[in-house]
Formats: sequence, structure tokens, C-alpha cells
Amino acid sequence: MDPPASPDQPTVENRFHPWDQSPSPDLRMRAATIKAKAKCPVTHKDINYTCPLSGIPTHHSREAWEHDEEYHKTKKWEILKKVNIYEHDLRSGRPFPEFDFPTDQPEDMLVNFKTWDTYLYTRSFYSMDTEFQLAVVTKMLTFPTTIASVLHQFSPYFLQPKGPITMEGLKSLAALRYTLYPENRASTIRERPVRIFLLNAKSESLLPPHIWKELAYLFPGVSFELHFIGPECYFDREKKRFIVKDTPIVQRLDDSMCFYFHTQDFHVLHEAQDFFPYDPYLDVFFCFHPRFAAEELSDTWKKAVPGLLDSKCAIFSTGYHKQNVDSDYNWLVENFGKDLDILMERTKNVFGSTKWELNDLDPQDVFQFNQQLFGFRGKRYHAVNKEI
Amino acid sequence: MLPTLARFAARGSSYYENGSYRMSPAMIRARRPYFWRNFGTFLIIASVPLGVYLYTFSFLHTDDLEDIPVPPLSDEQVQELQKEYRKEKAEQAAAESRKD
Repeated sequence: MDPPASPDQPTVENRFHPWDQSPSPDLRMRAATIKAKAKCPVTHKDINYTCPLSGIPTHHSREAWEHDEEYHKTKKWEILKKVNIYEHDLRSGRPFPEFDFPTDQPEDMLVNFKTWDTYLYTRSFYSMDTEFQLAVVTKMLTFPTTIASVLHQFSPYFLQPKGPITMEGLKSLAALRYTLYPENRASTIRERPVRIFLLNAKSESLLPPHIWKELAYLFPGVSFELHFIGPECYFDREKKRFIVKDTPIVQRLDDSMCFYFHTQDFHVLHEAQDFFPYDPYLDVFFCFHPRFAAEELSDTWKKAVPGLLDSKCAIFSTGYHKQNVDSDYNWLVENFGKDLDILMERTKNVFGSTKWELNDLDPQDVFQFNQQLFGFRGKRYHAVNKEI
Repeated sequence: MLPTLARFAARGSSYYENGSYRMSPAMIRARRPYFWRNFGTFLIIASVPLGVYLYTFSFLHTDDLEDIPVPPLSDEQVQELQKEYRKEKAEQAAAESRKD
């Protein structure tokens, strides 16, 4: 009864190719990189064998692949297979009607933040029927939607014990929601735009502006300034390299949205007092994959985190996977535990990317963008009544 | 406002399959968390008219219509009915004559 499926319709079968025989030169290149740089987890030798289940080079030889019991027991190959088919779908050249994004949300239609499906449906995105369409779109939308899902009044994160938000977290979020919902406020004074600082910005700073505009549609009547901070936040497409400048690069999209690219580290800007004064009602920090605990970054973060805590604004941070977010969290608590309050316990991000990725240097290290989420803030000290 | 709604409707139609108007998999997934609770609400609301109907049905069935004579009738019953009929006619005629 149904018409035969068109080859444009992505399925697991028609998107599966072993990477070293991939129709796409990019992926053959990545297979070669894995073979050249990664080491087999069993024999610790070069990788020469492509797993027939996932189509990704994972082991030194067929024997090593057979002997890797954990690999088969945890069904790691299922995730690797998803990496494979999603990458091939992106390069398949099919039409992508799902990139036709909606604009303003009609006032009488509420947005549901329960899951990606309810969000996309209530925002009236193009119908994302398969995991392939979700993977393509959520990888981009995860950045603005993660921000919105934390700050929105219909946030899926509840106060403890029903959810991950602590009492301190509710205080910070209440302050921000006071600003984000001007229609519920007695005073109509608009002081200045809400500033969202994106620290150590990498891939998020390369997103097209209309993706960030999603924030303005979700919070109508509020204007935003997005501050991308970090040496890799401004990529010059003509010169094909990251630019470092002393002054911020400003791009105004429209009345409600303005982008600032600060190509220095946060502690430099903080010490120069470029962002003063901070206001917990108007400012919030988001660190997408900060990797606080990573060796090559921990020096910069050791200088930056005191400034962040000093601002007393809420800071939310995401991680690639459970281990990544655990090490970040433990690093923070170890180094700055006395000075910070946890706003949000570590939790799985409802609006993480659904697209699986793999690390070319270790193909079994699989991750998703913004998979995990937690929040913290510098301690606020209140006046204490002393009886003398 | 109208252009926004029109754009909304155009994209919204992608949630129904062309021709058959079946719900798309994305719409079914979005509605799944609410399906059982919505179904419960439907049952509660539907129980009101259904209850009214069933109550009326059972109430009317307590009447077995035994006071209505159904043929075949015995001669005695026929005579009694004819007597009743004549009496009724006579009363009617009396009433009409009084009116004139």
C-alpha cells in the first residue's frame, strides 16, 4: 500500500558503509587517521581491523576483536554504528527540509520542554520522523535549547528531591526568571540586555546566527547579548584561521540579539574589568564542554574560575559524557569547594545532542555534545545578626 | 499575527502524512508521554453521557407495560374495554354539548 521508499529516505541499511570503503572521501580520511594514530585497546598495537558490526576501524586484528569481551558485552558497536550511519547521512546529499526553522512562537501556544520530541513539536519544527533528522538538527539546536531549558519557566529540571536543582540554584534561577519574564513584573524598567557569557567557546561560536535567535523566540520581549569568550571563538572564513584581537568583534543581528566575540581568555577580560558590573539578575555563564580537569586547560581555568565565582552569577557547565562531567565536577570541588555552591547536581541533559561522535585518537571513546549538565556559583555571604 | 500563524500551519502540516493524513512518527513520539493520562481523562469525560444513557435505559426497562392489553383477549376483557370506551365517548359528548 505504501509507495516504495526513496533512496533519499535515510535508513540504517542504506547509510551503512565501512569507513575505509566509504563513498565519502572525508570518512575514508578519518578511517586512515584512526589507523595511523589510534591504538588497539587489546593488543596496544596499530589498528588494522574494521569491525564488521559497526563499520569503524577498532582493533588490531580479527583475533583482538574477538577477544575484546567488554566491547561485545557492552554492545559498544551499536553506538559506533550510530556514529557511522549519522556521518554518512550528513554526507548523503539528501534534501534537508528539517533545516527550515520556525520563527516567532504564537503567544497562545506554549512550548513543552519535556523531551526533544515535545519541544520540536510544540515549537512547530519540521516533523523529525527518524533518528537521522533528529541527529542533524539537535547537534546545532542543543546549544540554545540547553540554555533555554535551564532558564525557562517550564524547565524540565525541578527542585530537589524531584529534580537536580538545589535551593541555591532556585535562588539564582528565580533572579534570572525575574528578568526574563518582564510581563510578570511590577516595574517595567528595562535596564540593559541579558548577557549570556559562553566561556571557552569553540563549535558554538561557529553556529549560524539564526540558531541563536531561537533564544529570542523563546523569551519574547527580552534582548540578549551573547558574549563568546576564548581564543578559538572567532574563525575567519576567508583567512581560514582563528583571529585574536584586543577589542571585541561585535555583530548585531537585530534588536533582540547581539553577538560579541572576545578572543582573549576570561581572566584577562575579568581583570581588565571589561564586563563590570556583573548582575546575577541579568548575567549568566554557560561553559559548553569546558574540560576544567584537562591538563592542557587546567592552568587557564585555575585563573578564570576565581573570577567566575567572584561574579556571583550562575554558571552552568556541560560535559561530553559521564566521566568527563565527573572529572570536571570533582576538579572544581577539590580546588574551589570552599568558595562555591552547587546550583544543579550532575544530571543528564534533556536537550543534549542525539548525534553520537567518536574520538579519532581512540575510536572507542564515544560522546555526545552537551550530554551531561551541572551548575555552580560563587558563595554569597549574607549579613548575619550578631548579639553582643 | 496572521503571517506567523500561516507559517506555523504550513510547517505543522508536515506532521501528517501526505494523502493518508496519518500522524507522523515524530508526532506520535511527542504525544506518547501524554497518551495514557489523556486516555484516562477521555474515559472520565465519556462516562458522563454514557452514564446518563445507561441510567435512562435501565429506568425505562423497569416498566414491563403490563397495563396495556395485548390481543388475543378473552370475551370478558373485550366487554370491559368496550364499556370503558363507551363511557369515555359519552363523557366527551357531554362535555362538547356543555360547551355549546
